Amino acid sequence: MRDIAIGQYYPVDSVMHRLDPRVKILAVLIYIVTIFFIDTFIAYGGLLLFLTAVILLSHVPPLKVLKSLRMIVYLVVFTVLITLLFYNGKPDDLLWQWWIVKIYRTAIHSSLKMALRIMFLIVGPTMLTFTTTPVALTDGVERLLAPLKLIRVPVHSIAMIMSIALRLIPTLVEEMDKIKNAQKARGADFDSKNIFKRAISLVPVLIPLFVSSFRRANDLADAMDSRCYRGAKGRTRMKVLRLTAKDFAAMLIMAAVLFMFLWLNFNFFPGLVDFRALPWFV
Amino acid sequence: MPVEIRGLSYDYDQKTKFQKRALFDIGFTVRDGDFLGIVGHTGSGKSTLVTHFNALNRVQQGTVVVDGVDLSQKFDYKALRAKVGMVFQYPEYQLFDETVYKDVAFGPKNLGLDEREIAVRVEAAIRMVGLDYDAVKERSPFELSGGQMRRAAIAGVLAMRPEILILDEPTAGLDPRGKREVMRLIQGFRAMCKIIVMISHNMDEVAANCSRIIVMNEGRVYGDYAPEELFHNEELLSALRIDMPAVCTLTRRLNERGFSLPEDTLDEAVLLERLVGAVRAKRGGGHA
Repeated sequence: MRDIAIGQYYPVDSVMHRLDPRVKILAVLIYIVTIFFIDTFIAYGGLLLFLTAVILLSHVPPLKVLKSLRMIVYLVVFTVLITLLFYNGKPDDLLWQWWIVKIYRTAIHSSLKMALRIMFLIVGPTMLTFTTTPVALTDGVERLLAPLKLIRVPVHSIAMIMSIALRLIPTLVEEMDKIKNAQKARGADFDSKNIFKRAISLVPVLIPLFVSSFRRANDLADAMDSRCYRGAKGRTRMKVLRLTAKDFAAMLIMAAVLFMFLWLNFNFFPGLVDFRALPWFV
Repeated sequence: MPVEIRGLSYDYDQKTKFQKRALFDIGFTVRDGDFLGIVGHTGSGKSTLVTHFNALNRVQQGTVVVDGVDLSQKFDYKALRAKVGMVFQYPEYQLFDETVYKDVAFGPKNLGLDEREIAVRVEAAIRMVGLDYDAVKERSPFELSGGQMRRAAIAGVLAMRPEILILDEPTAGLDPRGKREVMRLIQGFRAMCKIIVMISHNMDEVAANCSRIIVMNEGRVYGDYAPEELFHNEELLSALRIDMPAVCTLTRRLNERGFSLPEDTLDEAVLLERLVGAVRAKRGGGHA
């Protein structure tokens, strides 16, 4: 449980860390949408270059970033296998056949792209949380959602809930370790090979964890109440987010990069450069 | 049933950037009949040390031998945890089952005992912590009061009939009366458990109950003392930044005000008796 990389902040100083959280959140949104639009290897290659640049700029050790992929290994393998086995391609793409298993060339391409997509989807947001403190992140979300206040969406409350939830993740992990140890001391076995037994063995951990979450929530509500917390009304901020030159630069770069990807993918200007002519354009 | 610790060192987050040594070359032996108090400041390694006794922390360097079983080798976890019971800080936070009976039965059940033996042990354990068995057995542990919950949780450990009982701050967060009652119960456990180890920040409790005290400081054993030896030594206490128990402070204050009581007891009753004697002697002298 200790190596959950998602939602983890990596405290170093870098350009990426100093960018305005709003810019980073928007960039990640654009990035995610882009991933769903593009489906050619050449565009994925561009995406990989872009990600590498982001990682290098962020001063987060690349190995640490790769570790965030560890928890989706099974998902990726599973997706690749399913796509490979059940893909129905054209007969002339058939590479290999045995009994009812048919492997198509297009299936290999498709499954590889699927795997890349999943990995890109994880790494991008991970870079956001690596370079942005939870506080900055929720600040950014609150400011970005601000227009929704017009239609009475409780934006401030949503942001507050988010920041509290993020803040409590490590606390709950620690609490869970403690409860687990206490039940282990009473002879509980959490390492059973049988997956059902293992699920049931977690009940004595999860129930105390829920109970203590409610207790914590109550205590926290009291503490906030006693310091006169009344929600968003009349509340000012200590640190007001301001866009600076580098933020505008980042937005420009992001727009340019987005355009690049779409160009690579959809081959907008075949008269200028025809990517489709490249032998490995698939 | 001794616990022998030799050259025990322990690192947190071993082989990572955050690696931090928590225990440095610890060595001592706990013998049958010991009521061992472990004291020291927060972060001195007390909890890390005791969680080695039932292998919640694996031995990294050195050896821990519990009743002849070397914990740095392969061994039977369940047998060890049946032998070494551990009551964690705020144990009431680990209650989970529908009824107090079922919760207390969790440990014995994990040991694979049969229903009849479990029933006998659960009833005995609940009575041992001073709860009314018939009144609480079918109640949800979450309906109990704070003090009762703590007792129910302690019963959950006792029901495993441990020969070594480890208690981490058993009275933390209780009111003074609750503290006294829990300590009185723990004294009663000595009939069942050959060794009791208690971590505590409350020097009054340590002074009144422990037969031996180990002082931890920054991951090392600073010293191993008899209670009288430690608590009447003011220089030692201030060097270790440990509070003096109320009994010793009172004795000193009284002596500053003209009494000459011997500074060798940690027992409130003995002090009171001597004080009464001294006052009587003074009055007697005054009248004469």
